[in-house]
Amino acid sequence: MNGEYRIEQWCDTACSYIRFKPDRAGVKQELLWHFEDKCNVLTEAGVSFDEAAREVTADMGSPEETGRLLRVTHKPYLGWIWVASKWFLALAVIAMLIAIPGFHNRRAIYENKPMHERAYTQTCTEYGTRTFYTEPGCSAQSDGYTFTVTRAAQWHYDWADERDAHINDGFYFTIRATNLLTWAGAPDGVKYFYAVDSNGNYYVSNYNRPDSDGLYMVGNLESQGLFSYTYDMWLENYVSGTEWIEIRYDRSGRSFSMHIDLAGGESD
Amino acid sequence: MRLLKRHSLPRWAKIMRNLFLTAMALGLLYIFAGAPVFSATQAFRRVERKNLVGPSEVLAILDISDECFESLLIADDGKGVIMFPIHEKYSRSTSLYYQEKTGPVTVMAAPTPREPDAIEMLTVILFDDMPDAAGAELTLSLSAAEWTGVEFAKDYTLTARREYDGFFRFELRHTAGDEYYETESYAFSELSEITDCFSNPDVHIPATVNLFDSSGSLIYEQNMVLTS
Repeated sequence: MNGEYRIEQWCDTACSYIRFKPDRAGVKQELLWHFEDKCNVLTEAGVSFDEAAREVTADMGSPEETGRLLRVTHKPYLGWIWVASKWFLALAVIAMLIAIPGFHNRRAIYENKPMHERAYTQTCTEYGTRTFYTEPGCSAQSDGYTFTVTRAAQWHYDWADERDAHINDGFYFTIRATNLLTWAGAPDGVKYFYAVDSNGNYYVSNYNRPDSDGLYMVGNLESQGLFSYTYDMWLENYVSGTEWIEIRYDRSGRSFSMHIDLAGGESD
Repeated sequence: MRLLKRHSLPRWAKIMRNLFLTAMALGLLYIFAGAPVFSATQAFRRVERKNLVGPSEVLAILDISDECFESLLIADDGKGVIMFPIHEKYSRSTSLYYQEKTGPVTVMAAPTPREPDAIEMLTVILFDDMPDAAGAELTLSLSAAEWTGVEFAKDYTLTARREYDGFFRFELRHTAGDEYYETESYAFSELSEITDCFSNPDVHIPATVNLFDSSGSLIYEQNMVLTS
């Protein structure tokens, strides 16, 4: 029996006692390295490889006894738990990857350009002129949401068609709601926001307006990210000439406001 | 040449690492799957926070036998009362109806997605802050909207015994006869529309509430006008 075969046989016999089969290859490799180190010492001293292998295997003792020791130290249940944990992880990652397109599609519904984007990006159109722009950054918190008025613009419209002349003012603003819990969803409470200005004008929430001719606040959810929701808002039948506007919420024992100063911003 | 032996993690450490990564992947899966809810109460709490109301005390979950939704959750946050329709798929339960209290009693009709001319029965809830009240009588003066083309006005007197803490439950049913079924449905729908604030603001329904103690003695009476 040549030396290499002898060592292989010894290792295979010892490893056969390990109950968790996936461990056998690794343990066998460890044993082979150990044999290799011991054999190298003898072969460097001039002993032939076969003779060195015979001596080392004799020195290592009974492979059955070594196998019984290996059986004790290599418990199978830990091995099976490890295999199961790998499968669970693989399945979880696959399921997560499968869910991503649906998540993206749900978010994409609200990735439209805000209806009044031009109110912020332009200063003049064929219908009117922007008279004021500001980025107030005023904010308030409620129920895990942080509401921020990120920008506001005031416009003066003066145009005519074949039927009538249209002269009025418009006020537009953007509210961004953020929540660290991405599953919180867009806050429906925004539809109950209302506004007051320094002249005492009261813009009711669209949900509470008594009639369509009065002063009221309207808005739409325009986009949503992982943690934020952006609302495009405006004041219907806006009365200009005010020094400030406050966006307020007053319901269910909660009360907060966000103050927009109409002085100090860009006057166009 | 022997491959260098890699110093790998102990098996128990690999297991812990895999379990940690699995938990992370499952967390992301939950988010990517739209963060589904697994109970009616969980759905309600989430919608409560979205609507910036509450936290409220859930008074009851009523089986209202409506084919449009499974049940109706009734709650009170101290400042207002809440109705929350629960669908078979909890994730579809996204609408919450809130009404601020203006006195010791508040009347609220259940929302119904049925067509206005096909409302078979309407659940009406009388919220009260009177634990001594054992019975309630609610009188509603309903009329059909002008567009039905039929002159219709009728008083409905409903009675209920105390079954739940915090409210009485009534069922408003047709009594005017088959020929007035559609018209009567329209009258019911106007009452239901009051609950949905984004609705006809011109609805004003006179109502009378009487509360009785366990001996049948009148302990509270109020005339009111129900409006959105």
